[in-house]
Amino acid sequence: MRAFCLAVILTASLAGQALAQDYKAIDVVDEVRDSVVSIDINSLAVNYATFDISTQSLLTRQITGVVYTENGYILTDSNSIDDGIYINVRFEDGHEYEAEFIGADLQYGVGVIKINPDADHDLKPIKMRGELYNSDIGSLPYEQGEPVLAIGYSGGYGGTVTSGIISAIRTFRNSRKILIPNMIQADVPINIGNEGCPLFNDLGEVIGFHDIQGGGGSLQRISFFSPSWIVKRVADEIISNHESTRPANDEDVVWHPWLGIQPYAGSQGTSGLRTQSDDLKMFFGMPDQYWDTGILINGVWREGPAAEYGLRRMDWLMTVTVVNQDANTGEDTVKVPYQLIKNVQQLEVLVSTAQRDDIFIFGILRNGNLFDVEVTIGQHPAATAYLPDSSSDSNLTRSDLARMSEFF
Amino acid sequence: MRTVLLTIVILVILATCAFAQQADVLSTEDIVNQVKKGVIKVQGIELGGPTIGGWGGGSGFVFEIDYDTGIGYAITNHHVSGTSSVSSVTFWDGAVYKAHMLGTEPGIDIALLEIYGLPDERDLPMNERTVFPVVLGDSDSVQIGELGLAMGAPGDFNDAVGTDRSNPYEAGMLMQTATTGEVSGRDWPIEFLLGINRQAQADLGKQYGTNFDYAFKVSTPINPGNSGGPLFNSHGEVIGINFWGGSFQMAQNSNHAIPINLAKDFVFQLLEKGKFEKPWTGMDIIFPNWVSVDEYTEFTEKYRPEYIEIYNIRRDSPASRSGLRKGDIIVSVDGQKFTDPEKLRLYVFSQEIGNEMELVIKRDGKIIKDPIFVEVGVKRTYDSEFSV
Repeated sequence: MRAFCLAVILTASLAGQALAQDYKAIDVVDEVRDSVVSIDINSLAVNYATFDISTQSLLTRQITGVVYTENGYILTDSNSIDDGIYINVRFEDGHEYEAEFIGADLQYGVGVIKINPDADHDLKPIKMRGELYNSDIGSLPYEQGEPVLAIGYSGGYGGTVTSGIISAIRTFRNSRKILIPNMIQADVPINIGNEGCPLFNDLGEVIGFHDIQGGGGSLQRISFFSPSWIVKRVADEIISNHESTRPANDEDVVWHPWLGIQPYAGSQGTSGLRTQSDDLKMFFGMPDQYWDTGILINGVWREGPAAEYGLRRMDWLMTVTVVNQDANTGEDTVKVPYQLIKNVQQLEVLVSTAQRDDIFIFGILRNGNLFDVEVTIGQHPAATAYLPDSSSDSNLTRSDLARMSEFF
Repeated sequence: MRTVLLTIVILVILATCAFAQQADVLSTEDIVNQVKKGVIKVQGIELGGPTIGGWGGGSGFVFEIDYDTGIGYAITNHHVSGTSSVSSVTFWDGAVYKAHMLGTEPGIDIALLEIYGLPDERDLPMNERTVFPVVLGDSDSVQIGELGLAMGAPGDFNDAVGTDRSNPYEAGMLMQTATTGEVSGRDWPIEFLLGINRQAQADLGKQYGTNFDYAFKVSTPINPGNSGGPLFNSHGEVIGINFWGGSFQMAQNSNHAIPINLAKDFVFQLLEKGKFEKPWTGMDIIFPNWVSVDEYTEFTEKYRPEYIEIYNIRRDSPASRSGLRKGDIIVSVDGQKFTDPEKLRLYVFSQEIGNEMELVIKRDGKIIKDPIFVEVGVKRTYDSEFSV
């Protein structure tokens, strides 16, 4: 009887302990501390203090990076990383290396540099969530409200740890106007020097990289992070371009999927998503069963994929199916099954997650007729190679680039 | 044997109690999942003048739904939608409903909204419902250092977030933002808050015309647009209403929330009786002749005496019937000494209507032997917010 009594007490207390499983920031920090580095970018700058243009001084910008591979690739922010006359990488344990600039993609905000580690220094790469969806649970690998940590070079102090939660998950345009599905908004404190800093979940995996502060920093603790799967894809492309045996050329461009269409913004102005007004549908004689479906094309980019495959201004895109054709066998596999297009964002997410040579089969409405058009998705014209000694010079003018932000 | 069995039963009960208590403390993910269907974005449709939030409005939360009529009740700030008779509210899934302002109380910065046309979801399982009301907690039991999780729609106003207002994707995109911090203080006077920034002070003062002594100070980030949104404790219950962020000053993590118990009094009275009866006696003790917030602040900082003087008696008020006179100095009320008019105002506010307060008065430099009894009445709409 006494044993039974004891068992009851034990079970109760164990159940209590199991429930109170605390998230231990200290364990995460212990695990990832050696993978986060401080990067000093030393560049020449005009000394504005003396107003003497001939006098140049050394300007040091301090940002944050993470060890990506064991052989020394380091991921960081892309902004002005190639300005440096030399890049210095410092580890928490005191190791210091000079780094080489490998490549960067300004639109996704990913920069890659490389160090040659000492023989006795084992680099510890970070663990990174590389998938868009967690196929085991059928959802995102992160959740609103989840505790997160950021480690960075805050205000010049290397290895500063700050914590918070995921405030929200949003499909949002990043600071370079590229739509990123499921961008992370977190309330971790972020300061100058945190550029490129990683966001860790409670397992010590990187789930995002810092992109921009809300309100240009005027709002309290509203920071946006690019999800790690997109950063991983871009970084892998930059590294494989760099490691290929042929010399670097202007074809080494990170994949920026693009259709080249501009949707009609409708009469609703800034109220919510771009949806089409009822008046427009009445004007076009939209059949009743499609009343809440379809987006109207306001324009197609001259040399874009949409124009090439025959989409026109004033076409209605009603349905979409995405298929991928195998280059060897020629077999089609359906990537995204047939679906009605309800709003612009739905299509824009499909485009931004498309792979090379994906075929979009649109059901379109033109002059009252419904028929199918196949469009092979293409490369964004503004995506140019961003490599050391790159001679690529785009033919696009400034006004082209400004207009292009309306297209996707 | 019987005693042993009894002990076991008691132990099991105790264990389950402990178990239940521990299960109540939720992780931040669970809190967000539990409450997000009751958190709304509120935008006043401007009929009565501009709101502080301007274009973007603020936040709010639904605490009760009447499924028979499809009407939901939501709390927000007076400065979010108190000057608009009609507001639009947006839920987590983007559904927009029309709301009507049932009542507003500038003195405590709380407004009650009535949302029309909510779907009848009482038979649906929890995860399929689109609207689910939040649970109101008890703010009196809040300890300093407790978790404070705020939800709302911050940054949703002109020229915020570095967003492009012409880009429709970015308008209203910060809805359902969850931020965490701790309750770092209790009973912070709003008068102190008014002194932060002249412009903000003037904006606030024009709408509040009052001050109060009992705000929570929280380290949770509160940005413009979070106003009216709920502050949750670790059980997922509302303990406060976020109303004032520190982002106007160069201070980090000093933000403020109204305790929910204040709102409860106001809201349930309004729902039961159809009107809010504010306890009132009809004395002007806070400021002799209210003209502007600047003058009020200057007066409280420089010229306010160390005692409470009655500057004026309102016509046809309980104070005028009791025999109080202009120029009297209040020595004590119900045996308590008051030197701060804001404290006395709070005391009157906490009284029940019909109670008699016993005032000891000093008149012409002499304390009057017989105390004066004042019956607490109801404030009329045309009386100044500064009268007590």
